[in-house]
Amino acid sequence: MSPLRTFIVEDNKVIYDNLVSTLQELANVEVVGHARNETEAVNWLTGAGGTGETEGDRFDLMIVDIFLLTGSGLGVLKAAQDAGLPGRRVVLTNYATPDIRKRCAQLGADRVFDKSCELEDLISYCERISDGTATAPGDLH
Amino acid sequence: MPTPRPRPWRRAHWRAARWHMPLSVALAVLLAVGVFAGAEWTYQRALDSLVNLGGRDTARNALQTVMRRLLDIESAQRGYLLTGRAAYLQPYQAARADLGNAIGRLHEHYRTDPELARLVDTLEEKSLQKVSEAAETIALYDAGSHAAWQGLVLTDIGREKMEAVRRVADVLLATEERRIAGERAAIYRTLEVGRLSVHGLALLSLLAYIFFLRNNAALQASQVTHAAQLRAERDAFEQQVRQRTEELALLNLGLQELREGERGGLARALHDDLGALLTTAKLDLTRLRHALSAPSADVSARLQHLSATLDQGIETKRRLMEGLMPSALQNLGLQAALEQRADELHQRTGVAVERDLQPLELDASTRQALFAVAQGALSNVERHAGASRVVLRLSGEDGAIALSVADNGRGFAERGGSTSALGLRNLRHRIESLGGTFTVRSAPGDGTHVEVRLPGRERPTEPTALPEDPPA
Repeated sequence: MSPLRTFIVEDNKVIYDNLVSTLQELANVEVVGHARNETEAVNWLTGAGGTGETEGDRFDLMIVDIFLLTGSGLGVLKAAQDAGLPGRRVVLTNYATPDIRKRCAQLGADRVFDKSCELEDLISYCERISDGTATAPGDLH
Repeated sequence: MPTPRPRPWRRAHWRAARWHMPLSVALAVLLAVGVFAGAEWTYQRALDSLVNLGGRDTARNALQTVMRRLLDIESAQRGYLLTGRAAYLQPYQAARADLGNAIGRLHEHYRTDPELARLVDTLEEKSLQKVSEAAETIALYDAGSHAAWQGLVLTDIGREKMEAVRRVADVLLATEERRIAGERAAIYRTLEVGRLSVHGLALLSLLAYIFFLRNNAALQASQVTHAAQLRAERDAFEQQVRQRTEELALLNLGLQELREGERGGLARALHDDLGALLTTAKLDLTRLRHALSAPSADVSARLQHLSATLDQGIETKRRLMEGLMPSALQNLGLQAALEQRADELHQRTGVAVERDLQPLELDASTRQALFAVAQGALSNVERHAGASRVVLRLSGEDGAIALSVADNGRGFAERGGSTSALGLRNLRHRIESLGGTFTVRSAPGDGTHVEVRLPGRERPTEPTALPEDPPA
């Protein structure tokens, strides 16, 4: 079973380190990219960073935090949506209000997970992508 | 405002005025008495002199009458002696009687002057001698002793007597003339003194008037100066009050921004540090659960309890953060924060909140101030208005930002535009410190309309930007 190529947008180093080790341990995840803010993330996705090489179509899953050091995860989702990237996009945030969930869905997010109480759901979602039981990209559930 | 103490110069001025007043009154009385007394004295002196002059005139006339009558007697005597006509005796008799009268008047006139009275006595004596000489010749003529009366006439006695009378009369006349000249001189002197004193008094009056005018002018000038000083003091006080008010407003604004900055910093620390630790703990718990493939019921219960405890911690952190600074405002902008606040109001109270929110790029202090206004206005709607519908508007036009909150609740009676009743005073201060306007319109039964306008402070950054550093 090939690992799940994952791009993570998270500005907090402590959370990022622990999230990566948790996902690697429990969900066969391979981290292919990491960004700390909106600009970095958009550059990574669209290849605007100067390398001329686009990484955007080489991830299976993108995990985005909404509140970033500069910019916001909403901008990252919009960039991915505008670029028409095929990978799944999920949001992991402390601020999973109905309004945010609605806006994220409009910007092409497949799922929105609460950082505090829906971590188990994120892990099982990753497992289901790996074994192919998860819903297709673009569907809400 | 403290009342300014009287100035030293002012007290001195009033002291001076206290003794100036009676002095000027005394001077005026003195002047009036002087004018009165001077005029009266001049009048009395002139009157006396004129009366004296009149008396001397009478005396001179009497003296001349004496001389004329003696001549009349002499010529009547001669006429009678030459013609023997009795017609000449009639003026003779009249002249004798008149002579007596005139001498009587002279006696009366010189009653108080012994020296001249003696001269009058001599005059009378000589006159009587002359008259008796005439009477004797006439008697001799009547008796027919022609040789006797001719002898008597030829003795030249009559001429001698007449000369003697004339000498005395001349002395008297000369004395009278001298005295009349004296009286005249006295009148001139009196008139001169009167004239001079009137001139002097007129001059004094003029001086007093000039002194009064100068005093008056000085008083008015000091009043004007004093008024100007009072005005200047008042202006200075007002300026000071304005300056202090501005300083206080700036201080207030600074304190508000400091407070917001500290709250934002605390919220950020809660999110970044405490939030990360709690999330990490949750991740560890998840890994632990997966690691324990078949935990005992007891361990399972412990893990469940730990998870619940961590969730409570996370929820507490979130509540604290939102209380300090709505994270939507900090991270997603004013529009999102207002949307969220409107949702909360609707969920809690069922009030329909109509929104017309334009996405704007604003700096942190503008964002926070506008949110504070919306928050305050919506709290009032919730607590006081009893409204069924609220309209929340945010727009940026021509570089100005306008936020309005209007409800259809019971409203309140405006009291001169006062906003203290609704506890909106601090918000008004804050908006005005930022150079904006704060308007509240309301009438009982007609809802409340709060409107804020701020000069444009949009800044060209990404809509959901976080500040690079926590505000100081």
